[in-house]
Amino acid sequence: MQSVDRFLGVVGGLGLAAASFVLGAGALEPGRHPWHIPGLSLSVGRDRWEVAVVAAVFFLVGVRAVVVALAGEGDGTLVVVSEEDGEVRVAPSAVEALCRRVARAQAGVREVGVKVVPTAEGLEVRLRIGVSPDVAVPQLSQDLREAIQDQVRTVVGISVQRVRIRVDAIGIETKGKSLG
Amino acid sequence: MADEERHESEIATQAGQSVKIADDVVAIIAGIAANEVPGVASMSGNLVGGIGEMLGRKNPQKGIRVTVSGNDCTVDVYLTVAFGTRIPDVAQKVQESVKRAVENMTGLKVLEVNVHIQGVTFDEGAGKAADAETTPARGR
Repeated sequence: MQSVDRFLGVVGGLGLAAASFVLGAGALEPGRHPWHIPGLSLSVGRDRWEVAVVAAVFFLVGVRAVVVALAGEGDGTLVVVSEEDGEVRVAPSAVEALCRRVARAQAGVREVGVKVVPTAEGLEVRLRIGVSPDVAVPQLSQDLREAIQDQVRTVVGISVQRVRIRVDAIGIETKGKSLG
Repeated sequence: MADEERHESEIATQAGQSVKIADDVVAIIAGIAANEVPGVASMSGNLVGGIGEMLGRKNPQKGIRVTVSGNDCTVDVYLTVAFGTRIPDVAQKVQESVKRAVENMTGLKVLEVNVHIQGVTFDEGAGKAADAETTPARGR
């Protein structure tokens, strides 16, 4: 996530949380809460509890957006090297970017979605691809599998135990789009 | 006032005296050393640092977190690497470079340099970060 995305996440989340808080307070105590804006009072009537519940849900969504935007890298990183002098960790998103790059470079691949899952034996790469109509999918899958295993082993230093490929689309002109 | 709140480390010298070094200084030394390693595309900062950078403010300690305990310290480095390099090789050079720079310039003993690869950057003339994929960092 880039800095601007995180900034937008924080601002948007705070805005959503604040708006839903005012909405919820306005529904429960119409016209009496300190944030009451004259002329903008809600006519919620008997539905005020429903409005309050919806506002509470949006409030939680807003808070969650702020937390996610500000969160650290978490424990989902992959340990490549661990020695006395320190360790080297790689974010799964970095491996995903690499796999996406390799997949896009394969002739016949139009769209790519990647997810990297750490397993007990190593790594599992899950690919969702869109392919050209003139391509032989079994051959493409084999080439893709070998290319990804080779690149990840070379660049990251981790072996990929399994590459799961799902073909989601064939022959659709959606250049530049990505799946998942 | 801000200076009084800065976290500092006191290092004993051979002459029996001591020198105080702010942790920020250690972070800057580590940041410069890490940035000089070939294959390092950029350092990964946090939200505040990113906004500051957008406003034109340079942050040499970006992507560095230093933990000092007595005369020992641990450095965490958050960075993105350039496509085409081997991550273990780049990381090892970063560890060596940071350790050497901090120990030579401050006298602190660096126990660990932990390298966190946050993304891979594909530079195709459209700017370093054009196709970079990163995750949020806890670094500075």
